[in-house]
Amino acid sequence: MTQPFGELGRFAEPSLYILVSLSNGPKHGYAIMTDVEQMTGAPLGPGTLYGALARLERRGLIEALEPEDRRRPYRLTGAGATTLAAQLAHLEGFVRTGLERLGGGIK
Amino acid sequence: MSRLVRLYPPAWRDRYLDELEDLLADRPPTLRDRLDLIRGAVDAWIHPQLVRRPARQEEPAFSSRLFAGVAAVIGGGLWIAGGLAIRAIPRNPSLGYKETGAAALILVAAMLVTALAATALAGSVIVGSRRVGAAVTVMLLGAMLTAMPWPLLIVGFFAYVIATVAFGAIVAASASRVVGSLLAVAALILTSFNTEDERALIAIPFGLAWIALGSIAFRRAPAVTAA
Repeated sequence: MTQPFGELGRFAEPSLYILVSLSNGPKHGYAIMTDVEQMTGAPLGPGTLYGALARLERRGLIEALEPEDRRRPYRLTGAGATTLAAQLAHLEGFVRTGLERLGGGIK
Repeated sequence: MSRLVRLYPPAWRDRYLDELEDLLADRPPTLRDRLDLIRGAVDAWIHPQLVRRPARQEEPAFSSRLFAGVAAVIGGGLWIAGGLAIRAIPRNPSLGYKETGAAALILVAAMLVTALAATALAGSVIVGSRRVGAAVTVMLLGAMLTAMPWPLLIVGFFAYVIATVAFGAIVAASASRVVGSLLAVAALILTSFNTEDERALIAIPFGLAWIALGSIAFRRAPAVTAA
């Protein structure tokens, strides 16, 4: 994982999942967990989820909305969308390079 | 489950408790989730990531400082009580040394409570320093080791003392020069602590230093960032 996610340590990967989850609209914690689990097949622990949410909020990549009962939805900020787009573009390039090399090796 | 949530710092709970409890009500936690919550609580103490909102920050920050201050004062009091109690115990002539028993347990409790106070201070009065996180972690581990048999007890004691010297230096550099220096010097002197003679009373200035440290936690000054 590259900057700015690299500084997030073990929260880098969960943070990326959360940003992707929020990219199609605001969600509260449980909805994010469910969405991430559907996307990745791996559950996101509650301690990891809130550790990552706190870091993303601190960095201005997401923002908390007014609570609905006890649930507080989060949404992607403009900075968060830009960061996510850059991160996904980087990963896309990485995947393409990997597939090209793999294809070349097989030939 | 609420017991695990209570492991988080007060300021963190003020911000996230409602939604986390709601989430856990929707999704009953597995063993893995419980371990994840414990790991998350340790992380929240060492790396506070709360968003600073002037309108909402004051109350959570003060509750955290209040906990830190009360713990520091109680821990300091336990150090003083433990030192006095050990000093008052007569040497057992047949053994050739003192049977410290319950008095030693007071000192173990003093170390644990002061380490918790330092942890809370690291999340409120002093924030954002990795060195603070390392110092309080070593302090906590050292305090826990003092409850073990010899020689882990001695290893734990010196780990606690050295970490307290470091913590005092960080406090001196970032929050209160006088109180931080007092704590660091008192901790250095504590390396001469001996249960068998008058040196048991060295616990008294060390306890007073913790009480003084507790006093800075009660100030309504904003949290400061250590270098």
